[in-house]
Amino acid sequence: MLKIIFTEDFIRIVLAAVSVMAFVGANGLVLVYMERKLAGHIQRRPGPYEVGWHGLLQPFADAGKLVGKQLFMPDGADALLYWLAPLVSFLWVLVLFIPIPFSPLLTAYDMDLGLVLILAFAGINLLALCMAGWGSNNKWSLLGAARAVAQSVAYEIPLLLAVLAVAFATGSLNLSTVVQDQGGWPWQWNVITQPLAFMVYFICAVAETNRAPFDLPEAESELTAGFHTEYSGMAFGLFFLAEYAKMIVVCALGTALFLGGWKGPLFSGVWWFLAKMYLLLFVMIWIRWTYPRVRFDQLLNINWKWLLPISLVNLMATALFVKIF
Amino acid sequence: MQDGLNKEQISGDAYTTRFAQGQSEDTLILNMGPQHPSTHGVLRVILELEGEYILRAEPVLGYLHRMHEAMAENRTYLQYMPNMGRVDYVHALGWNWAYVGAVERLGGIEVPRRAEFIRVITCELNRIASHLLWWGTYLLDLGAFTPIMYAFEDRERILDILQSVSGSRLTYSFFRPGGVAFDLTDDFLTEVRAFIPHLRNRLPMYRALVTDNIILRHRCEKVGELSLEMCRRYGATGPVLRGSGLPYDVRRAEPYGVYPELTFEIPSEASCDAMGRYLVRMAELEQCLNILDQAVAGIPEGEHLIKGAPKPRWKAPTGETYFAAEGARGKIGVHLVSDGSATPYRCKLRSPSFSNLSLFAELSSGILLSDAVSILGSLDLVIPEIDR
Amino acid sequence: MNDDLFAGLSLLLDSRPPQETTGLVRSVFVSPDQLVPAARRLLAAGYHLEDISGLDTVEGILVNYHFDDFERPGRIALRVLAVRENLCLPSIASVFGGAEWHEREVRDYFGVVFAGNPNPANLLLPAEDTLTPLRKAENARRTVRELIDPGTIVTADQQFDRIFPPHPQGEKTMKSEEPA
Repeated sequence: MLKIIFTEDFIRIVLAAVSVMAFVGANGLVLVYMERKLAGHIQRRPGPYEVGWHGLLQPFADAGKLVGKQLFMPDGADALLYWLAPLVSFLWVLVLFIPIPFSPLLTAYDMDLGLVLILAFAGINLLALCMAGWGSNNKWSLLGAARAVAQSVAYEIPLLLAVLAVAFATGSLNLSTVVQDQGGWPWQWNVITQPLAFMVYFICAVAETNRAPFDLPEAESELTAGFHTEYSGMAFGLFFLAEYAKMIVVCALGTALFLGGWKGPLFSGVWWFLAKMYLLLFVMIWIRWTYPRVRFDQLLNINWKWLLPISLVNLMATALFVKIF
Repeated sequence: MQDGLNKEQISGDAYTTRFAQGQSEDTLILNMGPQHPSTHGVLRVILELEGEYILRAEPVLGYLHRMHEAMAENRTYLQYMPNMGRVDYVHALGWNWAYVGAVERLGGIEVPRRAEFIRVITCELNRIASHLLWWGTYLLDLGAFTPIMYAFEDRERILDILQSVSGSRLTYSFFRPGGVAFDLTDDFLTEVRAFIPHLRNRLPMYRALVTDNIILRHRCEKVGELSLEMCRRYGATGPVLRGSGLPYDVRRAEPYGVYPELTFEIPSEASCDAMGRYLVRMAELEQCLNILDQAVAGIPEGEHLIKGAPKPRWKAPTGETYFAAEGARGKIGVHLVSDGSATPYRCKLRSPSFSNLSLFAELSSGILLSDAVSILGSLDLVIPEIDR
Repeated sequence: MNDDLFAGLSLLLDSRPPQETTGLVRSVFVSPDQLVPAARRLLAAGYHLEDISGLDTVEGILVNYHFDDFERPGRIALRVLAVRENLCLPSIASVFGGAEWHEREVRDYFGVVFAGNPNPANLLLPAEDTLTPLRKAENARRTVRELIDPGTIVTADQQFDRIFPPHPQGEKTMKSEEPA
């Protein structure tokens, strides 16, 4: 027993899990602030301003509010499903951070199948949505969950194909290898050699995280709040955090796959990674506050009629290219 | 979660149980509202859904019913003015005009020319404010969170202008039989003259960023196709009718005030869908600015209220009258019957949103839930006007 | 406005009210059995239903249907009396779909039942409520002739004077002291 506990790998993973949780928590706070400030400025208003200098302490106020609220369950809701759903939603996202190479040293566990791990575990979120939708004993939640499932399942496929194209070009499913393969300068990044894949990846990333314009499952003006209508307090907070954590994961993955990861023209390191990741997050937030919502059948149409063929063609072309050259 | 499957176990009030009696197999009965982010006001729509498709819809009204028509019979003609601001508070001056128009027609009261111009200026400003509110909230329903902020910024300027002359920001009771309550303040016309180019400069931005947006186009085109024949059967008027190809406007059909002297077009679109209604309202914003230009340039000096205007306990001559005005939502009608006493015998308020909403049940069978939200937004409903 | 719009139907009164003061170009009184045929004529001629407005009078509840034309504006008031002993009228909802809601509103306010209305539930008042808020007390009612000025009469049926008797002294503005 002791031999298992004190192996280097095991300690490394435990440390990684703790630091990932800390990272996600810290970034969640930053993202909450960033989203509200950006939303404000896009909408010609200052955003949070009162709490702390220019609202910098606002996330703490938000967190405090969410923690302090009463947790209750609607009448007739299924207790097990209802309370498990936010936990399942949040905890699984943490697993997704393990293969991501923040810098050569700061990789939780260098896996040969890092990409596969991420794609596999990303689907667990659907389970959480279903549990929330059904367990709430609310027809609106059910509708939201049904939409979310269809959307997530549909958009995973082009995502997979886009990511596979990069894996083909690099020759490995190991994320660290993908990053090593790219250079520091922007023209050496994979986004230049695989622009279609990047575009498809980013659109699918926005759809997978249920962000506008693909936020039908949480469509505030149609379904009140979709699958998390009945949640309050920290249960809602966990869904909220899970969404931001997922955003961070997809942007981190996008940075590693397409934007050169931690490599930069000078002084390569984790700060480049974070800068690029935040650039992608900024674009995601910008898109949310600019565009209206896509209708559900149109959303699936975009997927089946546009993204899937494009990513397939891209994959074939990449495979051909790799084979010939 | 057995409601949709076992008919005997439908829980709900009289309307839900009644609606559920016609339920088909394997469908979900869902209440949209009366508390819902996108039914503007307290509107309740009972839906029978098969997946995402609506099989049947039934609006249930009455959540904001205040019985204005009974209030009319218990108040004098002047005491009833504030009610008109509350019927449709988004275009309160339209209702103001319909009511004072009816009283003036009944009593044979003249209106001074300056007052007519003041009425046009304030009513058109109110119409712009109403359309801006519609625009912002419609896009909010469709998921775009930003345009409402811009719309309300422009609307704030109008509300400030109208407040300086009438004293209220929203529920105006500014008109009086025989004119308007107060004369214009010194800086009113300056403010209006500054506002007109400001909004003219904003409209291209709204068009480029929102109207031409492909996502919006896909949410509005081919959605809620409403034929002219259906408009006739339900009495739909206003932009709903003009979006179906017929340029009918009460200001041209039954001219009142100084509208016959002003030049403006009546925009209409032949597409009959939500996009058509959207484009009609955006074009109307331009036309309102044209009317404002002319009215501000042509306003004469004079009185704001005719001498001998009805005093508080004025008795109208016996008889009945019907007066229609063009509101932001359609034809506002007031059917006033007097028995010669100081309070009306009957005051029937014809609300455009009432007729516009009555076609929703027929329009919404077989559409997607998201389209229902888009259609309700494109009809520009204000529930207090429907429920009165 | 087409003068033979109602050709073939028996009207109780067809008149041209003074448009300046009433806002109407034509005022037509019909008996309940002629209501649906008249509505059909109006739909065929391209009219739209503006509203249905009830009026509590001595003779009964007078229900006024206002129609207007988009292409050739000119408002027509179609009036039907529902006598107090039998507050029932046929529904025109099969002709004009929008009438369903207007009729439900008149039923809420006055208690007039419209036979054939597809959904005769309360519209604005709470469900199962039977208040009729706009009915007047007996001494507050006026006669139809006092309130409504027909203007220039085109055709008048003898029935009209029987249903809406003129005031014995011939003055419209005074309330009759004897029962009409």
